[in-house]
Amino acid sequence: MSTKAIPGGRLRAQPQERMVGHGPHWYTRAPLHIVIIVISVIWLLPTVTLLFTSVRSIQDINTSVWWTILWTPHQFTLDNYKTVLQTAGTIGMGQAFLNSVIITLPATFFPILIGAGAAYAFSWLRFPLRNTLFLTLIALQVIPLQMLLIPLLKLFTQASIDGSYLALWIAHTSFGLPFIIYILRNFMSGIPYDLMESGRIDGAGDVGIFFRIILPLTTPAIAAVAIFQFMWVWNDLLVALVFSGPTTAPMTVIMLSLVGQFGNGWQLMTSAAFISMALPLIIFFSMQRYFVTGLTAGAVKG
Amino acid sequence: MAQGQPLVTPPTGSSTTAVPIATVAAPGRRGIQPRSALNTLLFVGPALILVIVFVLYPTIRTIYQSFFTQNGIGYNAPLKFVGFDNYTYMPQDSGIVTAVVNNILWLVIVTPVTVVLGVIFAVLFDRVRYEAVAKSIVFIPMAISATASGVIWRLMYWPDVHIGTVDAILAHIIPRFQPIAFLGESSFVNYALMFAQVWASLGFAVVVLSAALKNIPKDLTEAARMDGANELQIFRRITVPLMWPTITVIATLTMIGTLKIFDIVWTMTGEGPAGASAVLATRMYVESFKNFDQGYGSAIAVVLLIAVIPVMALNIRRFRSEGAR
Repeated sequence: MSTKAIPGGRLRAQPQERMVGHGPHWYTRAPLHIVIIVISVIWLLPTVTLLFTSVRSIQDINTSVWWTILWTPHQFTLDNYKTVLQTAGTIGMGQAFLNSVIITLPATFFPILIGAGAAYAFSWLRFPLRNTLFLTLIALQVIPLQMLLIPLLKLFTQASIDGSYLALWIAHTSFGLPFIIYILRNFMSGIPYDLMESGRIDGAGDVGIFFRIILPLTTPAIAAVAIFQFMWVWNDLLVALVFSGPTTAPMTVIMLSLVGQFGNGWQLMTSAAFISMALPLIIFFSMQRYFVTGLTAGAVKG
Repeated sequence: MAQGQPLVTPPTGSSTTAVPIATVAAPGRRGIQPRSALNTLLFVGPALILVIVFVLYPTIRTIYQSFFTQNGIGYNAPLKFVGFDNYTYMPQDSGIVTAVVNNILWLVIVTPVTVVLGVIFAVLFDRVRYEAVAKSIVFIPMAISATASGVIWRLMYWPDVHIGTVDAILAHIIPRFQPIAFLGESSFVNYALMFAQVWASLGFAVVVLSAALKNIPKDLTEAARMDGANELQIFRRITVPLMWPTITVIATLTMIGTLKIFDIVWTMTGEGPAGASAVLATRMYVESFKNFDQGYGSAIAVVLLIAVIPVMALNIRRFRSEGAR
């Protein structure tokens, strides 16, 4: 995919030159604009609903539609956020946010470090069974998470790490590896052989080549894969449901418990959901290019 | 791939992107001779150990366990071999039958809807100056967890004209409107969930398809216009055929996604009303971790695996054929 395709990138063609046969006047193109605006409104409406509902008191939520806040701005309140950060679920959304951070950072860093090393070996180091092992890895990507849950839970329980951060790190790291190796290997294969050779001539060993030549050149792919892995772990529900404990639960699990606990405690559910979205949205708007590449690259993961 | 030719593919998209779907270099014989085998082990060992212990072993274990049932109640009850009983029981299990029907429904509705809307949005957005903004708007839900999307759409669908946006809008349009419980009707609930899923995931399809659209040489469309082709003919005869490889990729990925759909269903309805929105993934979770029937849960997981194997085969074939170039 080229950069042109990415939101935030430059547009490639001027509309006029693409619309031969149509008048240059705006009104002939009005239906097109109307359709796109309608699409945009439909796609924004749910998120806007969530945001507006989350800043109103439950009394207001129950008695008037969310958009009334537009002409009654005194309804605005951040009390829901204060409440939900401290008391949501068993541990509060504040602790759950911390848990999400504690789970996600190592579960992003380690698979990428380990995966980059393996990708280097698979792309550049000659060793027996290299292609067979790599093809097996590709095949493993498609194994549904459901296939791993029961045996892993037993393993973790035997090792007495069930419900700990460690269990979540191991699960996310192992599960992310096949995909990370696959993407990084494809990228590293494109690095010119001459560079390795000149590295060798300069006296670099296998480790030296990895850290001094391969890793710097792989930075864009690593950024994309890192964002993908981060989003995968941050937004994961299933792994966390099975392996996290009462004190280690991330935000997705606490949100789900709110849904179950208060079928209509909208002031809490909406503010909790918005807190969980805040960080990914910040990453999205600040690093849009890498974000989009990361997620689109990640689509192959099972 | 020619032997002894060190450079197989140019550094693809080295400036910005990893291009995973489009360019896949096959593993070849080329490479550098490691200084020592120990170095190779250092690089590849940790990954192999983790994948073998925590991915490969559990997979095999789950297949094995699907032929057993528990002798007694609880997670640590001794296991008893039952052959294919877990599998032969499934057609009699109305929960599984509903789940399979729902999974098929998801597959045959969400896949074409995603592809068609994805292509239409990409083509429409391509024609306006604010394309980047429109694509960003459609892509935003990709930043949101399926759990949060579930909360959002529970709110959208909530059967109260003050709370649920959909009912609120309908109430403004239709006089004496009675709120509709979109998630409370077994005839309706699956479509409501599918709409939420399409909202959540369409941005991905639009961005990828839009990239494919930009790769179509402008000479082709211009030449067709010179020859008097109208926009619809160009779309049908040039745009769609040239985007087809990407369209199949999107279709494949959507199929995998819908087969394994879990988070959004579990958050929004928890299989309700009365199990009407159950899918295989939620059944697997309930049997394994609510009913603690690990044998049966394992068998459901295996069914999921079998359902995605054809897709895996396609993926590997694509990998091989592109490597052979």
